[in-house]
Amino acid sequence: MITKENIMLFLKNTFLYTAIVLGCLFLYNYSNKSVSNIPHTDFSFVYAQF
Amino acid sequence: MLFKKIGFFHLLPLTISIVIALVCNNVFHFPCKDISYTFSIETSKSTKHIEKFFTNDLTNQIALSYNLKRRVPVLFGSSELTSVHLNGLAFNFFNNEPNEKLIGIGTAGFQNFAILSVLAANKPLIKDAKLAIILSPGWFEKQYCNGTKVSRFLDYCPPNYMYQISQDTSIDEQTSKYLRNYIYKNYDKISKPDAAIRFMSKKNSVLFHDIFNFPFLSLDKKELEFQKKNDPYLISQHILLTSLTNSKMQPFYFKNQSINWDSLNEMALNDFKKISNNNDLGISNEYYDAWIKGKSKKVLYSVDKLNNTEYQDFLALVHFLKVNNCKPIFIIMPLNMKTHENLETLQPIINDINLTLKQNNFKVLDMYSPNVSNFREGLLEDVMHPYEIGWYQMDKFILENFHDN
Repeated sequence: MITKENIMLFLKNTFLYTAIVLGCLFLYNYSNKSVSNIPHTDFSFVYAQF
Repeated sequence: MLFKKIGFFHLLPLTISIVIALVCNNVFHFPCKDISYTFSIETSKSTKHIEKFFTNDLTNQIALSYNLKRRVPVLFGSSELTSVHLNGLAFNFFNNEPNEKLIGIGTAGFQNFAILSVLAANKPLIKDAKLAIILSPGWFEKQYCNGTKVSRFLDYCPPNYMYQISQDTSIDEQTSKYLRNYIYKNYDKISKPDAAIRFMSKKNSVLFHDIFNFPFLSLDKKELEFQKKNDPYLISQHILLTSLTNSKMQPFYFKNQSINWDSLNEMALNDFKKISNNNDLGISNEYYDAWIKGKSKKVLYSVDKLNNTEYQDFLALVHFLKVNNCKPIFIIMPLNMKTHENLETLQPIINDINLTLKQNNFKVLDMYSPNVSNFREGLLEDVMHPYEIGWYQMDKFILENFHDN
């Protein structure tokens, strides 16, 4: 049944899925990577595996 | 009812999101990785010292590969190559006339493993190349014996070199394994590792590793395949090697010269006395005032060969040179006997280095001595870097071994 609640839930899920898919496309697309192979500074260890 | 809910609240939003993402990707282009490269052939030809390589700029890489191919003497060294004010510095000494040529590569920290990786990335060109390698005794001492630092390694092994090494199946198994092991051990010190580094970092000594690594290796291989087709920068070293290997260019003629070394040494000693007269340690006034005055001698500590990564790197380098039928020459630097204590502790490892080189028929000029009675003024400019007299000894050794007539 189409209720205001259901429409809101549908829109919320659409928004969430869009954010996730766009995020993945941005981060994991080969062409979109920034500079690779950066040696660590004392503060960069957090990003080591990303 | 449940399927209806899943379809309406999940599958439909997911489909819409994928459509939106595809539209966004086509309309708003995401910032793209720079896959282009630049270079200057004129600069490459006139280069006499390579301090490091630059990602996406091939000028220095072309300079090295081109000179390896032409059999121009290439001197591998570290911080001593930055003494550009000295006339005796090999790439100053042998670049005075238009028909003279020698290039140097390296700055502080360019140790055995980095040298090995640079040579591995240029493997097809090294067999007939004239290679001179300077070894610093300090590398094998406790402070630096942990081997080449990752930051230095990456300075000399840019992504296109790494790609070339990862794809070159003609590199012998032992060297390939040694290179991979370095990446494996240092993998967590590299941010945003690219596919070639990820590919080389996997340990595959037992079946369990192969099974666990399979999905990751497959993805990395796919990405490497993709790169091969779409990323001109990454395959640039491969293209350069292929074109140089097939080229029929004339080798450089390194002519013999009659040089009055005694006269040069005499002049250098007179000059040295002018810049070193406020201390009796045989080092320049400027260096003495800045670094030595009021300080005690540096005490050296040895590390046994098995735990000495730098020594293991040296053995790996010698093995690689041997299996590729190279004929390099080696120079072992001296240390200032008056500013170091316990120099005898390094003598056993220096002896082992000499022995290894001689067993492999590689020529070596050993300038190291722990004995203060062998002290020679003007040989060094500071605690470990050669002055003119030290450089003239090396120049003479290079000329004697590499001249063409």
